[in-house]
Amino acid sequence: MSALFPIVHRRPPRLYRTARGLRWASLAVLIVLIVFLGTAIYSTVRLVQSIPQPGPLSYEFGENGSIELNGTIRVGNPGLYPIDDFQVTLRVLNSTGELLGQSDELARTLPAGSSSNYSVGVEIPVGPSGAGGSLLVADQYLVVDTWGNATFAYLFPVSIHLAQNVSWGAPFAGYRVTLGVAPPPTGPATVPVTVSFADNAQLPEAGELEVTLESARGVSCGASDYPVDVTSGGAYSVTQDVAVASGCSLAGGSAVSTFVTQGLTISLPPEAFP
Amino acid sequence: MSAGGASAMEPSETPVVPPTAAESRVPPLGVRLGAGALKFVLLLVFLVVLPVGIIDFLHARSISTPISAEVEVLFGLPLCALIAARGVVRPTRAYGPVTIAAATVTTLFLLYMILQPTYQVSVPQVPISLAVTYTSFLLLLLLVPILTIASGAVTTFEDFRDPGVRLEFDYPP
Repeated sequence: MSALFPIVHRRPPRLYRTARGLRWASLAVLIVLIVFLGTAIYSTVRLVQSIPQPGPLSYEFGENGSIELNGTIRVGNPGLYPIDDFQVTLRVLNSTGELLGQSDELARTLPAGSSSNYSVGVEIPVGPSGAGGSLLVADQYLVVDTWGNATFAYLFPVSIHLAQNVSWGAPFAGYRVTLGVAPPPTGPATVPVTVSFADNAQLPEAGELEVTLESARGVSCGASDYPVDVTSGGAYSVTQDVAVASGCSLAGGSAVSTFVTQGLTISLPPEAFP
Repeated sequence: MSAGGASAMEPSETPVVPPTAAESRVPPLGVRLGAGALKFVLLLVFLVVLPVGIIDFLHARSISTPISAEVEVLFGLPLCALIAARGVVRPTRAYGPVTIAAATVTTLFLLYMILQPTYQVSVPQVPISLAVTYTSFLLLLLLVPILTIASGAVTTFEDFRDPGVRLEFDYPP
């Protein structure tokens, strides 16, 4: 009998099929998004485990009387998704929170399973005035803010901020220009002038210090060149006789110093006389 | 009492309509209530108790979270109740509206999350802070309740136009 009248399943009505299709579509979207979120979280964990610390900063004198801080950050992406438009920004502040310099690097894409070196450089003007000048003559702690902005796993804009305190050794730490006579004389006279400092920076210093003795009105009364050849961590103290011009008073004046090395001229903060 | 008493049908004479084959396959209310209660407890654990525990754990360590425990409970409890109720009322006309209500609560929760789309986390004593923006993901996730609302609306319409028709397919032999 059943062979004559086979059981025929009735097709569900259109409305029923529509509702069921919408439910399944909803479930499918949910499953896809949950799988995506799971893999994104897994990739994030792998990424966080491999987040590098920025390497130590090196420095050199720049062409326009500045200090250039350079560093490298190696970033690995062991996750499953690329890191798009990854941009590293470095900001250097002194211990009082003044911004000394900032660098912006071009945005790059870091494919999944790759790593890349990001070179960052910050140019800090170190003229006789301004916050950067203290980097030449004062050891201090700098705040190095590293910002990384990127889009992770196509959908998640991410911003990572790393703040570090970096010990800064000044190349002319404790720089002093001292007159060998007191009170400061009025020319004509010959004055023993002592220049002293410690090279607490990472690099040796070789060049010449041009020291100009100025009156309170900024008139040059005399000058002398001090040869410098100091190893990193070494101390420097040299006394030379400087001729003071006739009628020129050093009382209330100051010593203006510039360091000349390899064609670069670096102005040091002025030293006031009593 | 009735003028046309011969043709009027007394309540006692109302013919008893035997249940259809599909209706007879619908689980009894007690079974559905039991299953609904079990589902409610499971949902409560995964959608409320665990998230609130994680939120409290993080707050105890001074780590912020994108939503507070109160908000989680505020949206989580009704959502658990509605999803559990949906299974209980599946054979009835309330199935569509309850489905819409559950999906609406989910939509409201996602919209609340979208209003504060960036989660900034910083761990005390650790010099790294992280900010993640998840608007795009939440917008994609909104597709889920929107499709569910559409499904509930179609089911509601179907139940009012052809009551009981879907039981044959919801509870197949």
